[in-house]
Amino acid sequence: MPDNVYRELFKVEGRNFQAAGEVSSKIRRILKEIGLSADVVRRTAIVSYEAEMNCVMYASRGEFRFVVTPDYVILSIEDEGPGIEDTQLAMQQGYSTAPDEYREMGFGAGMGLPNMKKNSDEFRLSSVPGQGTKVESVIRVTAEEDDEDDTKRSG
Amino acid sequence: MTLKDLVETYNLEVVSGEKSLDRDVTGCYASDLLSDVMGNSTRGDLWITLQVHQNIVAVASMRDLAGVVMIGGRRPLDETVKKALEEGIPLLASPLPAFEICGRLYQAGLRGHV
Amino acid sequence: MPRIIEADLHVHTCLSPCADLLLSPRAVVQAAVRVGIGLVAVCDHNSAENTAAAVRAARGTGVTIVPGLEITTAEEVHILTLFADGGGAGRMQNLVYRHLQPGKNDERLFGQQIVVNEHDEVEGFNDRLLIGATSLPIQDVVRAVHDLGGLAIASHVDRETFGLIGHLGMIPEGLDLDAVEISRQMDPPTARAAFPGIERFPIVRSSDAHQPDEIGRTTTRLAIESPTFDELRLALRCEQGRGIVET
Repeated sequence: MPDNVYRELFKVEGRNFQAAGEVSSKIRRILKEIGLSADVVRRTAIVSYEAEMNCVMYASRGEFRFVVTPDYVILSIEDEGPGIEDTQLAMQQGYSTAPDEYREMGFGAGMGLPNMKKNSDEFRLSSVPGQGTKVESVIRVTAEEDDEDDTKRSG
Repeated sequence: MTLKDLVETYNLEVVSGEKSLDRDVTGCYASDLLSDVMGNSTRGDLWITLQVHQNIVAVASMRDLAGVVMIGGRRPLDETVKKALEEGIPLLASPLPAFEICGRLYQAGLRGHV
Repeated sequence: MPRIIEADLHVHTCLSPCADLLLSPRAVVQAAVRVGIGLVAVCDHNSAENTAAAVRAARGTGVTIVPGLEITTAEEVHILTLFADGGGAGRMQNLVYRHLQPGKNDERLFGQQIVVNEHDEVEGFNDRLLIGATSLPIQDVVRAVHDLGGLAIASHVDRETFGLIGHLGMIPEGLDLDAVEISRQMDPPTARAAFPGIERFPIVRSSDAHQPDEIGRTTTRLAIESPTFDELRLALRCEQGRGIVET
């Protein structure tokens, strides 16, 4: 890899439930191929998946910027959609602006934002109502032998 | 030999994959248990089976098989054909029972991987 | 005094690769509440990793979740295995994992296998080949289930794919199943006429739901005191006034 950095851009189409989850699946595969620890792969996959489902459920389209450096995995997701009026409120577990049809389907209890934050080492949420939402997640890469230590550290 | 050679020689019906008949067939595997094919088939094998449900396409794709021959005059489900077209897996059909078609392919020179 | 309770004894979650991504444990419970079902058995392919979340999500809703697995035997027959609690399901899962064919799930070909908690939060992804078969023959699965105090029900026996009768042509002698499930396309009288030997077993019907709106599309009607695992067992055995109500 030139200068040891992997970069890729993925696009997500809103309301396309057929394709939902595909981007996260690709990201997982890439991380495994790079050889990152199971913990980093799992956490990135969770953040990516929750973000992807949000894009599909609420936005008209979204872009996933995915960067892997020797020290970090960075996921930056920007969507075009209704945005979030109150980001503080949105960060509470279970809060949802899910339309009734999604609520009925069940998987709309929340936007998974607290779960994304929980699985990130750094997490930023910003939104412009009427325009869209941006989520940035940074996950520190650990050497494979440090897996156990890392779990103990992060609890 | 190619799929086209086998189709012509043994009068196999091409259910889907007309454009992929130039594929090389480097072996053959006969089994009706998906788990068995997943575990023991080899890339490039032609798969002989009575199964006709859509999972045969996923398995053939997973193992990179040359194609699937559905035996005994069995017809694939609509979903199976749809998946086969999506995955680019040739689906062939023969009215012969498994033993018979295997015997003929063996005589033609096709072998399993032993 | 027994009352009528509708049960759906065969429901999947998003952990099964072929199931809808939106079918979280919580979604299963909400669907059951919506449709008026009292008892739901959650049986994902070769895994029980979403059952604890379903049980927790059901608290206070009036729906009872029975934790289970739909196991693929060595003969590629599907058997529903239901347990009184997560402990039994967990031990069965351990046995299944030890005997599941090796290999990693291909998400593109088979689907994603998502572990979700009771708050609809993704906890992880199962990498095992849950769509595959175990090396456990049918008899061994049934014996193991009973050793763990569970119930063994052969799934959709009449179905050609993964059905006991579909695959073996008959129900093997001496197989100690607690019930047989027939597919939605069949009804009990037709099944009894078509398959000699099936009358030995209680017959159940379920949704085999892979999508939220499939839950409860077909149910087994039970005459039981309350929606519990023990009551279910009594109903299958037709004991103490409990039973299956065939419509």
